[in-house]
Amino acid sequence: MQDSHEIVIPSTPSGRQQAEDIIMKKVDEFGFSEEARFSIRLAMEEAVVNAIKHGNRFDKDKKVTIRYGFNGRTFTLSVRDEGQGFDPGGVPDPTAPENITLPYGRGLMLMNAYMDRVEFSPAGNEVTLVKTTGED
Amino acid sequence: MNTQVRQLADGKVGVVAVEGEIDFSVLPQMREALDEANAFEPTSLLVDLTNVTFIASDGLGVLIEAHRRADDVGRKFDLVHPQPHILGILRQTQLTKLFRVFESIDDAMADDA
Repeated sequence: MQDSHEIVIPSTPSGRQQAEDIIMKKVDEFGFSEEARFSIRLAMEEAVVNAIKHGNRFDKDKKVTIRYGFNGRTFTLSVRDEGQGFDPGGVPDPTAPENITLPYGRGLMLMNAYMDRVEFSPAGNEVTLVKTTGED
Repeated sequence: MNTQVRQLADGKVGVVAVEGEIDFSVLPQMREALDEANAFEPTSLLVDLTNVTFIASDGLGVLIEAHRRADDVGRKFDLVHPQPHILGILRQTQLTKLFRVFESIDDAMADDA
């Protein structure tokens, strides 16, 4: 990342809000399309909420580390929690008939659908999201 | 996010109109608005998404919970006029198989008539 930044937040809703506001302001300055902006906002929300809720289990003593940056037309965001990690391959398909009425389990699917690349660390406690704007 | 709850058709229809972003921080407010509408015991509950600009998976979860609660008591639960980005998320997650989505409140009420 040519232009990279790091934000460390507590595992609280207010910490999430502040970090997302800062990052979206940078995204707006970068001039992404409205569609790409929406995708980044959505994927970031899913990743940060997952880190707070499932990774750190709302433990205020545990931090979420968010790194983001721009390289040419590409935006990269990584979100790391201090939890046990998980196997993204083990997440049930939320569109399966037996899961469609479950009120959870769609965050990973949305990240994959709206970003160009989604990668998890081997430990499963860090996700990297990449989006490239289609505009020159 | 702001919500407005109102009754139509002599209380037979409850409407929760939502404005703004449905993200992690407003889930309690969403649930409260849905509870308020359910308290009228309408035969049909509509969530008007016309002015919703963002929804994430936890917001979808609140809608699914509300749909389930409505189903448990035989109440219809439908969504109204999501903007293209929001409809895209509903389609991506295939929740259009679970929710009926109407273009307008009038369309939803006509379907219930």
